[in-house]
Formats: sequence, C-alpha cells, structure tokens
Amino acid sequence: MSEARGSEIRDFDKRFCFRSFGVTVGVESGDPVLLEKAREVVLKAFGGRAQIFEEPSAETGHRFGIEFRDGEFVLYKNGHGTSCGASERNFFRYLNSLLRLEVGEFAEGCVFVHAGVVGWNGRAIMFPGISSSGKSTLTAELIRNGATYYSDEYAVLEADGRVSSFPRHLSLRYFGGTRLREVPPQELGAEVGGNAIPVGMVLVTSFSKGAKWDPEVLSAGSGIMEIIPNTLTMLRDPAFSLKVLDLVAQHAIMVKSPRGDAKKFAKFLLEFFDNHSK
Amino acid sequence: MNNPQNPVARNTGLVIQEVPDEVLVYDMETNKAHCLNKTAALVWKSCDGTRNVSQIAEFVGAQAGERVADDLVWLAIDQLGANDLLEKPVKADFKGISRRDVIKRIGLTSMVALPVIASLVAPPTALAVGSCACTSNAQCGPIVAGCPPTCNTSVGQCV
Repeated sequence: MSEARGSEIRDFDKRFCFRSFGVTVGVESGDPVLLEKAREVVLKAFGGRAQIFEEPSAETGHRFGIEFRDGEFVLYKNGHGTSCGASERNFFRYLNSLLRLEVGEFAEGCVFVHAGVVGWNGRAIMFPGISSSGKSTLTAELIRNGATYYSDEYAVLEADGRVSSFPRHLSLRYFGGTRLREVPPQELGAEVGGNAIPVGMVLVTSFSKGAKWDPEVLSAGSGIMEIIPNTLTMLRDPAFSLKVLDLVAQHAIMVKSPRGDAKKFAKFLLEFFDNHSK
Repeated sequence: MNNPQNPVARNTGLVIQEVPDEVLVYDMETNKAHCLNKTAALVWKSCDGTRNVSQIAEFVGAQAGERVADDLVWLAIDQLGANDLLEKPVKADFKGISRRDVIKRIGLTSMVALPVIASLVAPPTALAVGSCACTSNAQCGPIVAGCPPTCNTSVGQCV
C-alpha cells in the first residue's frame, strides 16, 4: 500500500539532469545502479527528444529521487517521498510515466494533450482521452491500416497548431484488459512520424461495446471544450493553450462518435477523414 | 450612462479566446472553462454597464438582424450570472413566467438561437490528466488521478 512519506525530505549525492521541451529535470539517487536504470528510462521515455547532461548543480524546480529501502522502492518528488512497492518493473514504468507527465505539464512553447495521434496523407488525426480510454488500441489499428505513428499517449502541439511526434512503445491490453504488452510501433509495421504536420481531424470517442460509427461534427468551441480536460498545460498557461487549440480548430474537422470494435472503426474513420477533412 | 442595475461583464481573472461564432472563457479563479454560443457571447459583450436589458436586446437584435425579446437577454444574463461571468449577479425578471415557459415561448417565435453556455471544470492537477501507470491503488481513482480505481500491480496500470 503506497503511502506518502510526506514529512521526510531527502537529498541525494548522485544526480544527472535532462532537458526536454524546455524543461530541465534532475534525477537523483544514492545508488549508482538505480541512477543508471533511471537514465535508461529517460532514453526510453523521450528518445531523441531529451538531452541528458551531467551537471549536479544545475538549477531545476523538477527533481525526482529514487531509492530502494526496506524492501520497497521510494520515489521522491522535489524531496518528498512516496512508497511504490517492491516491483522494479512497475516502479520504473511509473517513473517513466511521471517524467513524461512532468515535462508535458511544464513544456515551453508547446501544448501537451493526452491523446493518440496518427498521420494520414500529410495530416494528423488526433483523439484525446485519458488512459484506459482505448487510445493505444485505436492507434494500433490505424497504423495497421497504413497510418503513420505519432503517439499513443500525448499530442505535442506546437505554437503554430501543428503536431509533432512523441513516440513510445504502445501499451496494448489483452485478455480483457488485464494484461499489458509493450509493443514498439515498428513491430506493427508503422513508420514513425518525423516532421510536425497540421491536424486534419480531432476525434472525440470512447469505447462502447457494439457501438457503431455515428459521426457528429462539432463546432470549434465544442470541440475545444472536449480537448480541454485532456490538456496538461491548461492550468499553467490557459491563454497559450487556448490560442494553440484555436489554431488546431481552424484547420481540423472536430468529430464525435462512439466506437465499438477498433478494427472496423479504423476503416470507417479513415474513409470519413478522406471524404471530409478541410 | 452607467446604472448600477445594468449588467456588467466580468473581465478580471478570465482568459478569453474567440472562435468562429463562439467565445471560450477560462476562469483562472475556478479553473472552469465555458463555451458561449453566438447569442450568449453577444449579450455578454454588450454588458458594459451602460445598457439596460431592453437596450441590450436592441443591440443584439441589430447585430443579428432580427428583433430580440428582453426575455432572451434575461435568459443569457441568468446563465452568465450563474457562471460567474458578470461583475455582480443580476436577478432575472421573467415577470412571473417560469423559465421553462419563457424558453418555449422564445423558441417558437425567435429566429435567433437561444443563449447557451456549456461549462466544465478542468482537472485540478496534470496528474489527473496524465497516464494511469501505478504501483498501488493510491495512485489510481477518478479524483486523484482521473483513472480507474484499482492498480493492477502485475501490469502497473490502473484498471
């Protein structure tokens, strides 16, 4: 059972920093083996979008500390610790997720939206949604149909409204969602997106067993309202976030539809996109 | 001339983004987002303290190219006040008719769309928007993390 070790503040003597999307993050530990594993996590989490540097004294308001103590892993954020159980695999998956989230919330010059993104004929299809809403499953089906993989976790919207890639291994559920498998997009035959591309469609969807493709075109305002709950930078910089979302809405068709089976849905979606994108 | 009874649009602590035919308003004090349709937006913009409700109706009607009833403006003001988008709430005067009957009546006679304000509360933290990776139940749940409630520790995900 996780509990905060709130009053316990820790500093560690070993540290590396990385910088991604304008955010400098420090990762610390007293254990060089754990620190090396954390470095691998950063490379896996950010790929080419992070620069690691050794500068123990670098100023940063984003510090993560890791420790294995009394049979469990402890994660410290800005000095305050939370117990995270004994599983090393789960702990580093959790660290991966938190590091990406931290960068996403504080990124400079771009807006992170929790969304899947694929490229199709030079435009992006973006589908916002929280975890477990089926983004990775839908992303996988779309790339099996020939779409280019951009992300199954975060849409990175640049200041001009275009979206750039933020790849990771897709987390695909099976056995009724109780098992998870991490799959590199290339294993599904996908090309990973390179250049930033304009958004051609924002699709608001959620899984409902047996649901059929039934698109409703939304107004720009309604579409943006659907994206706002999934926008990491909204709290910190609402003016910039809304400005970028407006740029997206100017060039993208905003559509809402329930979805059933991802295989059939993907085909309907791509056909609709071909016939209706701006 | 300013009359203290005239509605005044709030302009502090708000981020405003105009989109075609709608206005998005983000309230930084409550972390609420609002989408005003064209009618609601027109009424809000004309609440400058110098116009009473009838004058706002006239102004909105001139913009819309149609006659606009005072009741339609009252409906908008009622919603604007309820969503804290006015400096001070103004009590709607439907002259004893229920709000529902007012809406029915306006809907039948007016070509101008009824004022609509859609609202939502943005998640309180980025964590509530982010991934549902977990190591224990404490990191899951709709309120804490915007995730399903239970941590499947064999896969490290809230389910």
